[in-house]
Amino acid sequence: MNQSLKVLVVDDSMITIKKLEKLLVDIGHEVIQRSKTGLEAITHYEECTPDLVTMDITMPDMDGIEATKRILAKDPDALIIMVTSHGQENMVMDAIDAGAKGYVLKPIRIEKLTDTIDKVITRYSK
Amino acid sequence: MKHTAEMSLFNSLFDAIPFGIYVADINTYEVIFVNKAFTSATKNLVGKKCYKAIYHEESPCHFCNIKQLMNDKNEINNQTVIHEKFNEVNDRWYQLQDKCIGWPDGRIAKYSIAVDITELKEVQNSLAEAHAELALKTKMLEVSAITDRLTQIYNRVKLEEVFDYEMSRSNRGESGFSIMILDIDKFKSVNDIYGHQVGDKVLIEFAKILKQNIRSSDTLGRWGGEEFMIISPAIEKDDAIKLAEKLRVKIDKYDFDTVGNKTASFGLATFTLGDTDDSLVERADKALYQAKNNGRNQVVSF
Repeated sequence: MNQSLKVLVVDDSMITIKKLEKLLVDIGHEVIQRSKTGLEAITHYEECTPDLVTMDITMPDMDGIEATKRILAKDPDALIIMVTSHGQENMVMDAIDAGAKGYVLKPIRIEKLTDTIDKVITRYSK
Repeated sequence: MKHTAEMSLFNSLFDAIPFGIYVADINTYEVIFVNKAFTSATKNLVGKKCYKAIYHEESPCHFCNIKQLMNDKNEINNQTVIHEKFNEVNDRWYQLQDKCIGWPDGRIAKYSIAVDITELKEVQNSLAEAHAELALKTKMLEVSAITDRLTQIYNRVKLEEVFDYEMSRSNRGESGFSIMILDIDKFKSVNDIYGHQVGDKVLIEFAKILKQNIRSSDTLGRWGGEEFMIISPAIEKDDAIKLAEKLRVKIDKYDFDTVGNKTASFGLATFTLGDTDDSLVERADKALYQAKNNGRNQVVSF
């Protein structure tokens, strides 16, 4: 997969944002915006219409699952993958039910991230 | 003297534990002690704020559980909280055992024993990721089972399911519904003149026009070949005719890529008490047949 994607990175930790940004750039994508809360992610999504969103789950003001639902309500074609430390089964199911198209657990490994993004693009990209 | 003796006892006890331990003042968040195992993994953090030194946060962490370790009177409640935490700074997972104690100098402190469980979590995480992948594939299968591959609208399986549902609702007297079967006029000639690839493109565009112009409660699907069906719940006959007419005009005015203008014929049937699955579809079929016989590009309702 050589397609370069415009990515919105959502995470309340600046450390994770920086790490993810570096990994995404290394894979050949471009981070066009960063959000530190769920509400911010919704606004940023509308403003910058990214090709892909990486979404944390635990965040202040609105969690990533709710933000995923709201983004998809406005744009059903939005491609959102969860990048989180929560691996509990109910959390995974909630995220998939909300419409997440991939699930990556921390620590984020470049192979895992690449593989998940490739799958999302192959399966869902229109 | 007592203070120093107690202090060295603490030190030796904590140093005997093979896992990292740090102790922080619960009021100032200042790190007041780290054991040998902790120092070997990090730089000496004594005197720094725990949230800043360990988690690189600018203010106390939102997951900090000092409050859970104290009672309402701000006294130690002797509880131990055990939790797992991923540290974003060094990319490692820890199981933390947190408890408050009275420090020899009189301060109340929280100590955390941190067991590195990164390897264990990697295994657990692979399982959770496999779970997610399975859930995603199941979802995709569910969608593909009811989707027409070419046009990406519903297929006949879904249409029949919705049809049965509306039929039983209407038979219970809840509300009526209408179905329309529509067919692209002279579609065979598109395939004959331009080939099947162009024919497929016309079908895709046709489905798109219909999808964009029906109500959100309507179900659109491919009935077969160049035939489509729309099931409209809770609709009066006149409104169903209006909807069909609107779609007919949209198609008539649409400029299809390569083939230019195309028209469609519509057969409409509205549920009446006593209708069976077969009788309703048969009426819609007959109406469509009549629309074709009357010269195509029109709506006929029975």
